[in-house]
Amino acid sequence: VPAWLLRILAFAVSLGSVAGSTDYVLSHAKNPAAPLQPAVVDPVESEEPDPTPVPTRTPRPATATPTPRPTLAATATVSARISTPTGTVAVIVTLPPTEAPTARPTPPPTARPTPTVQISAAVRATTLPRITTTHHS
Amino acid sequence: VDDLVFWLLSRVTGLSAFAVLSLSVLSGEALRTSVLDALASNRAIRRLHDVTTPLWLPLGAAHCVTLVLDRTARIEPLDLVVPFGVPYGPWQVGLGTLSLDILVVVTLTSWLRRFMSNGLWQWIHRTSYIAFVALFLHAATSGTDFDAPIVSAIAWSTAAALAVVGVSRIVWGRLPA
Repeated sequence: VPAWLLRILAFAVSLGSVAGSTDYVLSHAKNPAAPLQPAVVDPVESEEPDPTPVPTRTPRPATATPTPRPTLAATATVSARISTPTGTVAVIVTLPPTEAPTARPTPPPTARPTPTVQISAAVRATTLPRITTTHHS
Repeated sequence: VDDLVFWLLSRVTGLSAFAVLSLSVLSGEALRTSVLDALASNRAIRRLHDVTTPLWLPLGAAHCVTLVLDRTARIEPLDLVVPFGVPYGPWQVGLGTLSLDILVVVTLTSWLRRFMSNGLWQWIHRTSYIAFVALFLHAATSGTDFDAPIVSAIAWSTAAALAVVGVSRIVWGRLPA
């Protein structure tokens, strides 16, 4: 067999292995039995903190109950920009801090403070257009 | 681009690089044995062996780059050089790094062969056997697709064939035609 034919065969083997691997991997995108399972990085931890000032909760005084105290989670802030015919409105909804789950179930809070809506200083408030639904599922 | 795309690309390039590296090891072993004498002359086999390097090199490089870009894999650029530093699979991934390091040295010394003695070059080149063993163990212990019957059957049979030829080369020297 001449050398050039061996080279062509080598290219064919390489292309065939790439094509075969692609076909197999695409048809088996995920393998739950994969030997290495790296933990998925929480995207919230990798992002920069929200510069919006959030209210803080003062720590509760220690009590004599043996139940471990729930730890305070970060206050969630949801912001969105809505385009209207009269301009763009930035809406920031600050949700109250939630309590992290504990090993022992705790009763649900009886009264939760309502979410507050803060409008940035440089944004003019306006009425939002009415939402019309066209499809129902 | 989504992490999943990088993850799929790293698996494709990893499997392909393993296949082409197997071809490279086979052609290299054939130069010192007679397993491919019936197929071609030693000069043709040598040219085949030379052409396998530019074939596996981009595949191996793409495997490394896509793993670094895949944030879920958490492979840092330093992990491509220094083995056994990945926290969730230190030796499984580290064997791949070790294999990469050896193969890079083997490839560079092959390009710089004229500047060194033949004996030194041969001993460095023989470490490619160690690199292939490390590569196979890396693939078998950390490869996502190596538990699939079709993939493991091809990989294990290829590695076993190369091992038989390699051991025969060590024990009996150049095999009779």
